[in-house]
Amino acid sequence: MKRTAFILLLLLFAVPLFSIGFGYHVFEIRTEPEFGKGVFPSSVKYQFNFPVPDLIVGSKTELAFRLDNGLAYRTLRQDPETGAIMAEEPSLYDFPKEYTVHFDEFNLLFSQGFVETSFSENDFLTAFVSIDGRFEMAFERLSWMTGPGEREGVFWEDDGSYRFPEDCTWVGAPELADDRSVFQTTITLGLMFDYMRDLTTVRDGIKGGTYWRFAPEWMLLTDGSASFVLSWNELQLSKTLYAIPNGNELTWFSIVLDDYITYRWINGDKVPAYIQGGDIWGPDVPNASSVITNRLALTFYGPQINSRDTYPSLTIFWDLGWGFGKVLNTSTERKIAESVGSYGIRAEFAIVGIAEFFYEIGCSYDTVFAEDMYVEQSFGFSVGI
Amino acid sequence: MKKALGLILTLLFLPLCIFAESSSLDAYIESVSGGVKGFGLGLFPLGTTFGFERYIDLVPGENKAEFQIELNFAFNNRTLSDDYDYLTGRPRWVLSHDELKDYHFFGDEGWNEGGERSLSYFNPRSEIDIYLDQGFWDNPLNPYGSLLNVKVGYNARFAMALEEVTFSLPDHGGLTSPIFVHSDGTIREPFDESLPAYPWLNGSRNTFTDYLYMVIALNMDRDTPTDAEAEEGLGVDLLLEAGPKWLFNNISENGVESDYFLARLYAEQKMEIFSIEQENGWTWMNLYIGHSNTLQYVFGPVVPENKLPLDRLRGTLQDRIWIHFTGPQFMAGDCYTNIEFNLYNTLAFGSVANEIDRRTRAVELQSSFSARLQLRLFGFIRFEYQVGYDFIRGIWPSEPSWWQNSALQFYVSL
Repeated sequence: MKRTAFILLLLLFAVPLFSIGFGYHVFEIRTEPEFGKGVFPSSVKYQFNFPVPDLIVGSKTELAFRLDNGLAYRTLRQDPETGAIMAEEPSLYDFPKEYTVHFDEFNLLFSQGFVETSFSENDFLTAFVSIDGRFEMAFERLSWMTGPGEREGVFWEDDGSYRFPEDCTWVGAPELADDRSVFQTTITLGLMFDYMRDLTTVRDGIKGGTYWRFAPEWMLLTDGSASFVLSWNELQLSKTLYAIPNGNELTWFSIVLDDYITYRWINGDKVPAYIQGGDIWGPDVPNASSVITNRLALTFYGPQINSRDTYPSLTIFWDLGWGFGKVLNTSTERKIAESVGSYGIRAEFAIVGIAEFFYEIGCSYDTVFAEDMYVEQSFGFSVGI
Repeated sequence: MKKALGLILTLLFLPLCIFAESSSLDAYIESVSGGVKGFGLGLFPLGTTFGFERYIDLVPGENKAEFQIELNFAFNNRTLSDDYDYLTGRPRWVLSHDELKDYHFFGDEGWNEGGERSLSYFNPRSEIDIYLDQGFWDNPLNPYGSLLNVKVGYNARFAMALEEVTFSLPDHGGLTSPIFVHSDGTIREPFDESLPAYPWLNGSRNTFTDYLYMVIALNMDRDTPTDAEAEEGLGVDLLLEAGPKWLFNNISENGVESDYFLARLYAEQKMEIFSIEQENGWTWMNLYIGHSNTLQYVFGPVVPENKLPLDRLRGTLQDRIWIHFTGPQFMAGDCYTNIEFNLYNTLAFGSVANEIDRRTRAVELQSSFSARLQLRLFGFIRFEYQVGYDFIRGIWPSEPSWWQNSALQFYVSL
C-alpha cells in the first residue's frame, strides 16, 4: 500500500508538468499548550497554487496542492467499546482524555470561479473538487510518562495496565483501532459564494458555502478505517456598525458585528474525529448526525498600525451549539437532541498577521449532559494565522 | 518563558509596525523520505520550515532591508550519543580501555538495569528565527544585490526528549521499557541527576534555548536566478552568535541550558569554467569550481545540543574544494540536474565542549570526498543521491570507508 500511495503522490505532483512557478498561501499556524507553552508552532496548513490559466475570462481557475501537517491534541469523547458519550456518565470515565495526534493531510484541489465581483478577491460563485488523503497516528499526550505523576493516560491506567480490552471494537473511536495509525482517502465536492467586502477591520456582506465529502471503504488506497458521507454548510454575515477611516483603506477604529453559522450532517459507520466538527468555545457539541453551531460576535478594532494586519481588537462572543439525530460511532441505535452554550471576551494584539498576544475569558453556561458550568481564561503569545 | 519570549518578540516586531506593507513567503518541506517507520508512513513530512518576509526602507538610498520570521517544527526520533561521559563530559576516545570502566556512558553495562531499553527517543522540537538584513552599496556582479550586508537576528528553540511514541501502543509497541523513567513513572538513572555533558536531558527534558546573532557579509558574486546558472565571484561572512545564560537560558527548573558564544569566519571563491546557453537563455550545460574556508570557535561552559561542533572540539578549520556541473534545463526553468564533487579537509582542535574540567584537548584531521547527483523538478521536487569516501577519520579508529545515501524532498522556495 505504501508503494502504491507513493506512486500516486508522485503522479499527482506530475500533473502540472507545464507549471513554471508556484503561488503560495499559509492558511493556519497552530500551537498546543503542552508544546513550548503554546508559543512555538506545532502544525501548519498551507497551499501551493499551480499557475494554470483562467478557463473563464475574469474568473479565477485554481489548481492547488494543500497540505496540513503537524501535531495536535485531541480529546476522547466516546467510549471506544460502546460509543457511549462519556460526558453523560463522567464518573464512569474518570481518567485523562487528551491524547496526541500526528497528522498529515493533503488535498489536490481544482476550483473554478464564476461571476467576478469588484470588491472581493474571490468570484461570487466558486465550485471545487478535491482528492484528499489523511495520515494520522495517535499516542499519549506529550507529558505522559515524564514523571511519577504522569503515569496515567488515555490508553494506560495508573497501575501500568492497558485501559481498553485487547478485543476492544473501537466503535466509538474507529481511528484508534489496531496500531492507532490510519490512512484515509476521500473525495470532496463543493460550492462557495462570496458577496463580502473584507478589509480585516471593516467587513460588510455575506459569504458561505457547502461541500460534500465522501469516504467509502472502497476508496482507492484507504485502509478502511473510515466510512462516511459528510455535508458541511456554513454562512457568515458581517456588518460594520461604525468606522473611522485612516486613509489607504485602513481604520483608526471600527465596530463590526459578525454571525457565523454552520450546519454539518454526517452519515456513516466509521466517522473519524477530525471530521466531526461542532467546535465552539468551551463545551463539546455531542457527536450526532446533525450539528449546528452559531457564533454571534461584536468586535471593536483599534488602529491598524500602518499595516492591515497589525492592530488591537476586543471581541465579545456568544456561542451556541446543537447536536441532534442519531449518535455517531455507537454500537446501539440512539437519537439525541442537546444544546450547549457559552459566552466570553477575547482581547488580542495581532502583529503583521503571523503572531498575536491575547487574553481570553469565557463562561460555559449551558454545558453538555452532566458537566457543571465553568469559567476559563487564558493569556499568552503565539504565532498563528 | 512565555512572557520572556513574548517581550523579546514584541521588541523585534514593533519596528515593523511603522513600515509599509509588503510581504512574501519562503518555505520548504523536508523529511518526506526520512519518515520514521510507521510514523507518516515514511511518505509524509515530519518536519516543516516556513518563513515570512518583508522588505522595508530602513536606510535612505540603500536597498530595502529584509525582515524575516522563520518558523519550523519537526517530530522524529533521535538516538542518545554514547561517546561522552554524561557526568563529566569526558570523551570516550580519550580514555584507555581500563579507564572506560570508571566512566559512565549511555548504553553501557548498567544501562539495562531495571528493564532493557534502547537509546532511541522521541524528539519533538520547534524554532522561531527572526532577523533583519540591511544591505549597503551595490554588488558589482549583481545589480539586485548589495556589496555589504549586515544581518541581526534572534533565535529561540524548544525541544522535548520523550519516550518513543510506540511506547503508548498496546504491548508498548514491542518496546521493553521506557528510556527515561521506570514503569512506575519514577525517573530512571542517570536522568534523576544533572547531566553536564547533555544539558538538554536535565530535569523535565523540556529545553528552551535562545541566542542573538549578527552576520556581516561581503558579497561580490553573480546573480543566479534559477540556481542552474554557473556561479562566479567571492563572498566573506563573519558570524557572531551569543547564547549566554542571562538571555533566558536559565529560566527553567533544568538549570542553565545554554551559555555560549560562537564566532565563524567563512570565505569562498567561485569561478566559471564554461557555460553554454540555449536560445531561450536557459542552460545547456555549465561548469564552475569553488573553494571555501571556514574557521569557527565555540566558547562558553554550556553549549546547547544544536550548537555542538564536530566531535565537540571547540575549534574547526575546514577547507573545501568543489566542482559543480549543471546539465540542461528542460521543460521548465527549474527542471535540471547537477553533479557536484567535493573534497573536504577539516581540522578540529581545542578543548572539548561541555566537559566540566576542560582537561581534554585534541587536534584531529578528517578528510573526505563526496559526489552528489541532484535532479530538480518544477521547483518543488528534489531527488538527491550522494556517495562518499572518508579516508582520514581523525580521532576515530575506523578504517577508511565508502558511504552513500539518497533522499527525495519536496520543497518550495519562492
